[in-house]
Amino acid sequence: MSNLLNLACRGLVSRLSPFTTHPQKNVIMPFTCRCLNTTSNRQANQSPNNDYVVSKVYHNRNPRNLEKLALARKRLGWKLTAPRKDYYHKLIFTLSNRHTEARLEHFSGFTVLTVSTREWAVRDQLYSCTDVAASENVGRVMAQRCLESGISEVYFDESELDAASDKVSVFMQAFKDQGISLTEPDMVEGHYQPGINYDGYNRYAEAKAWQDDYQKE
Amino acid sequence: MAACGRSVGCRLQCLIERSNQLKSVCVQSVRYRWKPPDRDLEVLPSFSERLSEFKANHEVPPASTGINVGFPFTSSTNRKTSLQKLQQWTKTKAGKEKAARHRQLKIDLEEVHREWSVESRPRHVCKVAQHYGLYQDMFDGAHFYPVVPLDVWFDYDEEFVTPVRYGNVIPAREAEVQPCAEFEAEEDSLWTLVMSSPDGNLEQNDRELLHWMVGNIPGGDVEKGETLCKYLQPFPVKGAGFLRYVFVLYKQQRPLDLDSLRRSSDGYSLRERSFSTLDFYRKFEDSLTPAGLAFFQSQWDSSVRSTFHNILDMPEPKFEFIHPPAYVPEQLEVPHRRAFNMYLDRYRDVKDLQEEVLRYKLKDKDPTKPPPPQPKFNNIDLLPSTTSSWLRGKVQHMRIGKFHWKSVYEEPKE
Repeated sequence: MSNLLNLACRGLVSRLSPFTTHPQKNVIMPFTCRCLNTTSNRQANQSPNNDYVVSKVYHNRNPRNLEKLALARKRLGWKLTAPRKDYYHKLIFTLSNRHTEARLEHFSGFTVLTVSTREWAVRDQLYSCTDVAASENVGRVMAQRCLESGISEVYFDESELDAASDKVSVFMQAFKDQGISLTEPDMVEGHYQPGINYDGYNRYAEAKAWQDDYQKE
Repeated sequence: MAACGRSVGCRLQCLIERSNQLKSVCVQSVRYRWKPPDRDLEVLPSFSERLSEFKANHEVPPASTGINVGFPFTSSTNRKTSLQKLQQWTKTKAGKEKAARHRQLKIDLEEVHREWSVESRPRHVCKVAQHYGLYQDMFDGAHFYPVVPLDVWFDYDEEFVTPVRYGNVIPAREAEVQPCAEFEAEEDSLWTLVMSSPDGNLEQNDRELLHWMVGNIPGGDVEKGETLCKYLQPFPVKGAGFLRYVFVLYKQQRPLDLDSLRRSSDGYSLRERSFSTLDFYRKFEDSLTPAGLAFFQSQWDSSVRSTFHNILDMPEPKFEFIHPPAYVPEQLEVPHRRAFNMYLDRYRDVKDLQEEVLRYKLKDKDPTKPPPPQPKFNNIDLLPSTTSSWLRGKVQHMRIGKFHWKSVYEEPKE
């Protein structure tokens, strides 16, 4: 982790303003935040958490957190790359001669969820494994599993399939009925400000170590 | 090399053969008039080789990766049973033809869930848990198959319940009351149920926060077990995003003396609730085997504030995300095709820049009054035609509040 952390900090520029009163505030990584203020409505003298110190650097270790908030970096790909690469989770729908399958793939290549008519749980209630009803029901089961695993936005590339076909359109409709968006939100990027804070605190609220040349990090 | 040094195509083929089709080649497709250069053509590592080298250096997996600490999972379907199922399905499917052809065949999702629980739930949930980094953060990379279907739900009003599946999002206010847990177990078996949050520890981020712990549960009846730690509702802090809350069910080999884990009676001290699944599992490794898993995610809502004030009796912290800073490469003496003023601004001290902004801001404004709203068509006035292009750009940035000039039209932060 420390290696990764160092990697993320390369060319690190702190943006804490010198005009703020106290730059040491709570911070998170990779979900990096700082504590703004605290609110309280009582005198906490008898409290069991009287001496509990909320850390300055708060690290949310949930690897899916930044993706859910659209703050994680997406792979951009080239401008005309096909298939597109700018997604977190991609929904892949496969119609083969014998079976209908759907799977959810993370951009790292990890297959998170699969639904297939090969599963007896699905196949038992179907008439055929390749008809329109099979596509629709595979879509419904997949949408259910996406919601159960906390994924409410997926990327689905219509151009890879014939979106006008009945099988694809009922598959997509099944997701819309469950309230799952078939497009992912745009990546939220930070506001660019020029300048380097040569002697301030970094984004983890740590003082900068002395270096002869900061630009050569 | 000398034999096939005549044509580029031949040389390329020779190289590809030599590198066994795994490496990318850097071939200069220039014909030399008199003789080819002496240097050997460079053979560079391919992208996948460079990527694996990078991963080996930078992404060290946890020590226990690949070890199964739970029960072995074997699929319930083999060739014989699937043949039987196929025969049965072929017989019964004819009745569904009409509904299928009229596109009215909607399968029962609860029935699918029930069958899936038996058929492939352990394998699927294991994958999702891996995707959510649970094994990495809680078991040092060692995984287990949740072979015992653990059903957990929050019964927050009379009409509905919120089930905990494998990562679904549950609002914090719906998880206020102690959840109900149910699993199938033999009469004389003993179990331990632990609910913890790998992200919830605000003091030590590398540890977990214990929310609920029941030990020595006889025969799947959670109410008869010893409550070692009272239930504490999730309190995902504001601004920190989605936090994971994990229920892990362990099967016990023998009754355990868990008194060392017992928390004090009121049990709302967060420091006492600091917990590490790995330490707990290592301590009781001989008599505990992880067998069930359910987890959910939760985000801040207004009920969290009252949890902090009324139950934990402490001020509520609030966080703000800081974007990673832009990468600033080494400064060049002669940058090519860059606006010189913007290029130099990148390497200036922020204090200098902010001083410039502040001077501009206070030049003709009263500091005691709030800043005026940004005019809608601020940049409509033409600049004199003699203005140089860099200054034109700068004035435009100042007028529309771009880059560091944004703070001209911004309220100062507290």
